[in-house]
Amino acid sequence: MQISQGFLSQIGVFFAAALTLITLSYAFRDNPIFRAILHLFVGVAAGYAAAIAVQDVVLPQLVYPILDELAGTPTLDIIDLAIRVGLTLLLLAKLSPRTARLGSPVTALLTGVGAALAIGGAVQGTLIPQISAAAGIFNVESFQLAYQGGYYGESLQIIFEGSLLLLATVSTLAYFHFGAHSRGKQEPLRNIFVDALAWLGAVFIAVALATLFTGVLQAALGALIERVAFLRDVANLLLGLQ
Amino acid sequence: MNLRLRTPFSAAVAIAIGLIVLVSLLFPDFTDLRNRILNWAILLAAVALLLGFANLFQVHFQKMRHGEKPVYSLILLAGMLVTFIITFWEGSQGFTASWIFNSIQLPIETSLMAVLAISLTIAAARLFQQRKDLMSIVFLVTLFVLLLSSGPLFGIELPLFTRTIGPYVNNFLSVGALRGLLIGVSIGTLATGLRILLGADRPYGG
Repeated sequence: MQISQGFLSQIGVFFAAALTLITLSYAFRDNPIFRAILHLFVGVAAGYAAAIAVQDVVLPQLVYPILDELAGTPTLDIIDLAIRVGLTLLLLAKLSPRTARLGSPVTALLTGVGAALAIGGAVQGTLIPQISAAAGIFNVESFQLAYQGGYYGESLQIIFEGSLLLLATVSTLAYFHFGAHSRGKQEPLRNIFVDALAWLGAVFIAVALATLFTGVLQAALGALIERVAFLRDVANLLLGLQ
Repeated sequence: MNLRLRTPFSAAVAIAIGLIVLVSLLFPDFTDLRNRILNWAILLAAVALLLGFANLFQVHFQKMRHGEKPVYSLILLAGMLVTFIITFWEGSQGFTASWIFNSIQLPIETSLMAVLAISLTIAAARLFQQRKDLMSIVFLVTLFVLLLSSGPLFGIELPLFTRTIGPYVNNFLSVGALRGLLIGVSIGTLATGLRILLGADRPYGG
C-alpha cells in the first residue's frame, strides 16, 4: 500500500500538534506521557545525529577512500588512509572495557587538537578583539570634534560613557580576582580597593546576567507564541475554519 | 589479557598534536599538516559520536531486558533505530527523514523552549522570595526595565524605556560587564588549554 505524501504531511501536522500539547503539559505537572515524549525526542535526535555523522563524515572520509583503494583508484595516500583506519580501530576499542585503554591515545589526540583550537580561538577570537575594544572605549575623535566645536556637554558625555564602560569591564574582572595577603594565623585579607571594585563588579555582573536572562526569556516567549499560533492553526484546520 | 598503554604515551600524543596544531595556527607553512590532523580529528569525533550512539543503545537495551521502565526505553530505541535507518537510507533531505524532523523533533524542541519561558518567569518571580539582597534587586529591576524596553506594551510604546533607559543598560552597563566576563572566560579557556598542552591535566584517562 502506497501512502501519499500529502496524507503523510497532514498526519504530521496533527502528530506535531499532539506532541506540542503533551510537551506543554509539563508546565502544569510532570507526567508519564511527557517523559515518554522526552525519550522519543532523545532517541530521534540521537538517530538523526548518528545518521548525519555516518553520511557526512564516516562514509566520505573513511569508507569511500577504502573502497577506492580496494578498487585500485586511490583518492587518499596510503599512509593517511592507514592512519585513519588505525585511529578508528583504536577508538572502537573503547567499546569493550577490556580493550578500552587502547583508545586512550586517540582520545588524547582529540583532546590535544581541541585544546590547541580552544587556545587559538580564545586568543584570536575573544581575547585580542575584546581587549582592543576595551582599549578603544574612549571615542577620541568624537571627543575632539565636540570639544573644539564648543559642545562641552557632549564631550563630557563621551568621557562619562567611556569611563562607565571601562569601570564595568575592570570591576567585573576584579570580582574574579581572589588574591589575598597572608596575615599569619588570621584569615587572608583582600586589598580593600580590590574588594570595593569587586563589590561594584558584582552589581555590573547582576546587570549583565539580567540582560542575558532577558534575551533567553524573549527567545522562549517567541517559541511559546509560535507554538500557540501553531495550535490555533491546527484547531482551525480541524474545525474547518481554514 | 592485560592491555595497558601508560599515560605518558597518551600525554605525549596530546602534547605533540596540540603543539603542532597551535604552531600551525601561527605559521602558514604548516597549513597542510594542520588540515590533515583536523580531518583525522573530525573523523574521530564522528566515530566517537557513533560510540555514544552504541552506548545509548546498549544502556537502554539492558534496561529493557531487566524491566527497568521498559516502555520508555522501548520508545527511545524505536525512535533511535527508525530515525537512523530512514535518515541514513534516504539522506537528511529525504521526505520521510524531513517528516520525522519536522513532525517529531522540531515540535518537541520548540515546545521545550516554550516551556522554558514559563519556567524562567516562575524562577524570576521566586528569586526575590528566596534571596532578598541588593543583587536580586539589581537583577530584577534590570530584567523589568529590559522587558519594558523590548517593545510596545499592549500596543503602547514607553519612550522612557524603549529609547532612553533600555539602550543605556544594553549599550553601557551590560556591555562593559559582558566584556569583562568574556575576557575572564577566554583567560580561563587559555589556562585550561595550556594545562592540557603542558600535561598538567590529562582528561583522556589512563
